[in-house]
Amino acid sequence: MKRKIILSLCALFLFFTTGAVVASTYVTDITSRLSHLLKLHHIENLRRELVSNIQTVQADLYTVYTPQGHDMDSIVQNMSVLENSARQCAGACHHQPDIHARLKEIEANVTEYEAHLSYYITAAANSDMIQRIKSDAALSGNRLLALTERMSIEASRKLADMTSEAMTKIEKVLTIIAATLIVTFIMGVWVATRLTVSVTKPVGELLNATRVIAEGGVGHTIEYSGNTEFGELAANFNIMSMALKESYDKLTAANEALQLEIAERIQAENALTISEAFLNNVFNSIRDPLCIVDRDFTIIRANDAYAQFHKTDYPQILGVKCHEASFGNAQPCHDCIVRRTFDTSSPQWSEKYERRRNGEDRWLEIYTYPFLDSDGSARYVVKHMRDISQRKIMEDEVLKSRKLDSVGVLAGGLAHDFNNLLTSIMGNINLARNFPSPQVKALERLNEAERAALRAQDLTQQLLTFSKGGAPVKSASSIGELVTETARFVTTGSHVRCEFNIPDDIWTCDVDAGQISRVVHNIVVNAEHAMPDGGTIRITCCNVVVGGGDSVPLASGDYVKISIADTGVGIQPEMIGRIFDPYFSTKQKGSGLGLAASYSIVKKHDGQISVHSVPGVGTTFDIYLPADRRAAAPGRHDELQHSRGKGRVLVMDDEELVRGVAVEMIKQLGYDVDYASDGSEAVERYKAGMLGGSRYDVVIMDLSVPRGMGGKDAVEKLREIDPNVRAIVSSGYSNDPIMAEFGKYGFSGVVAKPYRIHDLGRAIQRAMSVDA
Amino acid sequence: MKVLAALFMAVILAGVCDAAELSIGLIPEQNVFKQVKRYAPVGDYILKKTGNKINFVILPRYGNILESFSEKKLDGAFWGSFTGALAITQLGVEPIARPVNPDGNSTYKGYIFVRKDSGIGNIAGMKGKSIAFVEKATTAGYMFPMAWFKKHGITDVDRYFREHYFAGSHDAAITAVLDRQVDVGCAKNTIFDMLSQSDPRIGSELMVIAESVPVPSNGLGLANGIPADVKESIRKALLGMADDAEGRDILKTFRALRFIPTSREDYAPVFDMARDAGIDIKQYKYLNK
Repeated sequence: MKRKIILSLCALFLFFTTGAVVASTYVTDITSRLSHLLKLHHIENLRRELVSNIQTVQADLYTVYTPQGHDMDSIVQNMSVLENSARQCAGACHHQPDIHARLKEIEANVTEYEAHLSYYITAAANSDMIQRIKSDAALSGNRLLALTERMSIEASRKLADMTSEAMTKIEKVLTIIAATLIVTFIMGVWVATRLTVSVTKPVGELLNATRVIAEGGVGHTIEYSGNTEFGELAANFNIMSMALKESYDKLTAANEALQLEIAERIQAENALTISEAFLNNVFNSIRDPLCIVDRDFTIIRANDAYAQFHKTDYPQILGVKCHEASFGNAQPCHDCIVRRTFDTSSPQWSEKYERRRNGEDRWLEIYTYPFLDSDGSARYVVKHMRDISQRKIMEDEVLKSRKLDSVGVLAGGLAHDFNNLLTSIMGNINLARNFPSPQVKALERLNEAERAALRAQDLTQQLLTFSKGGAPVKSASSIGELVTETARFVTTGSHVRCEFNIPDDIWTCDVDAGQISRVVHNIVVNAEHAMPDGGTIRITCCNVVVGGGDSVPLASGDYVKISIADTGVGIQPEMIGRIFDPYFSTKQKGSGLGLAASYSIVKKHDGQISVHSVPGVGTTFDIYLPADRRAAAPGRHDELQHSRGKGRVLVMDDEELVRGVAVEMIKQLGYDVDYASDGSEAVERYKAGMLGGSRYDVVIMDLSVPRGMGGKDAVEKLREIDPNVRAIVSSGYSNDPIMAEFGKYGFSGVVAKPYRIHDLGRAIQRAMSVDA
Repeated sequence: MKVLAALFMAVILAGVCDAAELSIGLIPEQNVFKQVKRYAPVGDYILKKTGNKINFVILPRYGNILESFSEKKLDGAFWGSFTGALAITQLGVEPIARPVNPDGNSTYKGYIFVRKDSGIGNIAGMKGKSIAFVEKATTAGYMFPMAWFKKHGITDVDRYFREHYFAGSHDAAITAVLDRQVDVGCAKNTIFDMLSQSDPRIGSELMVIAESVPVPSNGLGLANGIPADVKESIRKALLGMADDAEGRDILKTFRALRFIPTSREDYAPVFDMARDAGIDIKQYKYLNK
């Protein structure tokens, strides 16, 4: 098509161009001729002007010196004009050689004429001479005139011929131009018509086809055969239409599939909603408080029981830190079970006691379960809490009952023992009374009675340790030093030696050093007794981390394990289960309370004691005590330095000597100290200090004040005045339950008598670290 | 704005008023038409340099130049040596400048010439012959030959020669001898030399019998009443033509090297020659008979 259009237009253009070229050629020729004619006309005019000028000068010559003549200036001027005319005529155009020769002849004649005329003008001679000169000038002028007129005639004739010829050519050109225009017009119309038809028809078909498709006739095709661009366009259009239909069909199918998928998704979403509602119901129906915590300890989900447990609404509990919600603490708890779960990515368990703001005691059993990511790390922790306060009470009751049973057994035993002892004491005293010479014999009896009394004291100590009142008074202690000192003390002078394997980096444990020392003492004594012929007791300490899956019945955490192994006679298997029962003994000597007391002590430290033995080989005791990696046991050389501090301390003790020692020690620790003799005075002093703007930072109060207000009552009074009072309880009776559970009674710390300066200092530091 | 326009017009008009329009006569030293063509560029140059318009007036006769000077109210003329002397003496004309010929001379001589084939070789040979003078008011064309004739004892030319007339211009006199219209001719050497270059016959067929002493070439003299500044400006323009490229081109066409100052003293030879010819310049009647 394009080729056809181009060829048609080229043919049209070629024809037009040919005609235009031919016409242009003729026009150019004619133009040239006309220009030449114009020149010739111009020249002719010049010649005529020259002729006229010659005639004028001739007239001047004939009329000079007559009344009709002109003056000389006029003649000279006319001659100048004539000369100019001749010059113009000669230089007007390019002449043919003969014409050129004639013009030169004219110029020569003009010069001659000029000379004759000048001669005539200037000559002064006789009249004949003058007449002769004048004739010569006139003849010269006539010759010039004749020559010029002849040339002019010839030029006019030629001019006419040339003009006629030019007109003929002009007519020819007009004919050519007209023919060119007409034929070009006809050709143009024909080409335009043909091209229009060849373009509009397929375009029309294409347009119709697009309308059909626009109206929904996808896949509509057109029929156009022709080896032209339109044919190609039609073919491509058909391909496009079919492709469009195919895409449309696919789209329709995809849409239907999408609709189906949407329906299924809606159904799934509904099912999910129902499932979620069901799970929510299940979640909320669980009566135990349940929450889900993220790594920032933020509660992201909780059930209704959790919200109710914390006396709030579900929306209010979301976003709150779990330690804040549960315990009102701004920071995570010291032994945060959630943190342990995140750290270990394993379930944890703990029991936690809290005293609520309203004074209510509560025991919580907390289970945590990690919600693991794909990399095995805990992303969330599910915290399951259970108020086991009632259970604890019941357990206490059961324990009490068991204790009572034990006590019953103990009482029976004690009764039996004390009866024996008393019998010995009373009998010896009785006998001493009846001897005739009582001094010597009485002394022996009294000695016996004393030994019995000492044994009764020891028995009493064991009983106290075993009783409820023997709660450990803990402090960070170096287990290595404790075990080493105790073991060496016991085996001093013995035929048994100790071997120690205690690493330098053994963790610190928060323990009652005296009680743990007793435990080690009891076990080492038994080990010594099991090797009557001597031997080696191997004592090993190591750091242990107990996980949730370990066999040791301990809560997950850090422990120090103390192993005391002998190579003695061992314990028979049938007896090993009763080794820790009170009054159970495999020895002839012994009260049978040592291991029972040791068991009780370790348990009270939240630890574990176990034994395994092979008869004839030896016995090994393993003691697990909770460790505190962060705490460092003070070295003996810096105990005092670390115990120092600044602040105001009030000491209350009825015993002047004890009070004096305490005041002096506290001064040495760097504090300002005041004292009171009983609880009432202490309350008054504290009140005065508050009103005076110099509140006491710590108050140390003796528990038992026989003739006044004791520490227990005094702290209650103080808390009325200042709920944030920091009070430390002190007593010589370490078995007092207030000493063991000082927090329950409103105290912030405890220190046992007799005082040691660093114990006093640390107790004050601990109390002052409590938020006021 | 109106004040500025007025001042501008005043300046223009002042310039216009300072410019003079002078009528300068041209004697028929040669063909009058050639004279006009020769001097026209000089007039244009003076106009360009001084602003003074020069109108050349052809004087058909040497003879009536003084009358024409008064009648035509000429302001000056390019005088011949004799007519210049007459004008200085009788009209008080002030000489301004004269051209220096291509040969370096600012003078010309008078020639008395014959055809070589005329057989005339001296004054004796001229007896009974015809002679063409130029004009009574010319040095080379009349006064010199009269003085030469007188010197050779001829005082009455009417008797000595068969015929005499005044050709009117030097070239006419030369042409008359060349064309055998007359036997003897008188003309100035500059015209003789100039024509011989254009017509070699002059040099080959004519011979000079006698020549005069050098006299000043035709120079410009201005009337007494012309303002001094105008005279000075024209003098300056003519004298400076050789320093100017345009001036030099005009001088080349004019057939002169330059113009030099001219004074009355330069005309002393003419006065002497007139005395030798027995002519009283003050009383001299220069009209041709």
